[in-house]
Amino acid sequence: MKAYSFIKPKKKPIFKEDTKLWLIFITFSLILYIFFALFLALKAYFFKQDSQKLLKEIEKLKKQTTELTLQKEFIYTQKAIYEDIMIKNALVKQQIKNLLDLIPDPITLEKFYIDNDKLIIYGITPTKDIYNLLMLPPLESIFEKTTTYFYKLPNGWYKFKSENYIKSEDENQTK
Amino acid sequence: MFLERFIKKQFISFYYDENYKLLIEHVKNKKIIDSYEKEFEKKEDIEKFIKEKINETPQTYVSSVLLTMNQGVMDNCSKQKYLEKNIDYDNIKILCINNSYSFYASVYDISKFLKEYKFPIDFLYSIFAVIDSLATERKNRFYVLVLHNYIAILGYENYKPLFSDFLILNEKDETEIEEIEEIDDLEIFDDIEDINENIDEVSNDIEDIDENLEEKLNTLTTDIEVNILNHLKESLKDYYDNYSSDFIEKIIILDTVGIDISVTTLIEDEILIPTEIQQINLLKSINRLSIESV
Repeated sequence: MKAYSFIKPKKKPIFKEDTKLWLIFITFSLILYIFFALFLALKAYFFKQDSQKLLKEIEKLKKQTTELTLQKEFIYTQKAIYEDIMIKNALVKQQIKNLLDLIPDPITLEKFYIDNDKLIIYGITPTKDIYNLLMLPPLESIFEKTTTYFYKLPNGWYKFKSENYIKSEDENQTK
Repeated sequence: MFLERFIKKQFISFYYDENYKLLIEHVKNKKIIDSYEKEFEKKEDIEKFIKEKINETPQTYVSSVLLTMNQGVMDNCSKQKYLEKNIDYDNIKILCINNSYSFYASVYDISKFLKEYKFPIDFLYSIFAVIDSLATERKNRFYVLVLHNYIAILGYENYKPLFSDFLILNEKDETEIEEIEEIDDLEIFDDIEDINENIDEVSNDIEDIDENLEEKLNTLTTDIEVNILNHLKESLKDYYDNYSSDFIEKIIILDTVGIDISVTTLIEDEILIPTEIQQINLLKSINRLSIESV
């Protein structure tokens, strides 16, 4: 098309001033909205990652808790055993003390063997009577069955072996 | 710009011929959606109207046509040609078309026209450029554009505009009417104390003036055909004497005012050249040029 005009038009704005303001406002709002949406998406992504990490952590902690529970049970068991042993030891200690208190002065104790239901004593006594008078009565009062074996020594003293049972051997055998 | 395709543009064309004539067309993607015409008596009114329209739609293009004596056409674009024709080359604005021919107008007239209105004008056309855009036949043709107060003639020889002439009609009559009105106004203001006494006389005078005006206008409308004929005769003489020896084969009258169809017979009888009348809407033609330019 031929240009017939003596003058050229100035560049015209596409929008009115107030429309421009509205468009700027809407564009700004859209940009803000997009940024906010991106921010939320990122936040959600990181939150998801964190939650997965935490879930793994929870799983790990659960395993650790199980292990700790097992360890705790083991320790409790150990403690129970220890306490049991301690009690038994105290008892044994007391028993030994009691036993040693039983031994009269003329009799010499060589060794003794203590079990749950029996006591075997090895020793030397000047005479059988001393043993029977001083040693036997307390043993018979404690144990249900008491058997004593004497071996005469060259100097005239007696070596003895005293087997004492809380329950008789026959009962033990039948049980 | 891609977005501009979808934006509604407003094209306003106007010119002054007896009163201010204005056309508004709304265009989208170079297609006219709607249009309407308006006329204004006062310059202030059209200025106010156009300003409002520009404020409403930023994409508004205002176009007009230069209706002044100091414009024309040249069958060349070279400075030499203008100097040969004794045209003040430094004080005219030239619009070269296809490096073949050119339209020119006085720089003073253009700047005066642009300063005359309190709104920006985007396109200003020479009246001959508008005729050229309407010219479909271009071999030895004479185009006569008829307005109420103006006649513009554009002569083509071998598809190129060669001759132009512009006539302002009723110039004296207008000044006379203005003078009468001014005197009338002065009388009224001077004799303001006697208004009540002389009111009947004044109203009688006004009636007389109105009657005189009507008579004058009647003679003018009947005279326009004679004016066209006389002016055509002069122009043809000038054309044959100074521009070309080729005979004009046809006269095409571009009518904007609704002249009597008998003018064709009148011209054919007097000048012996076939004549036809084409009804045109000058405002639409101006806007079309602007729409194509944007």
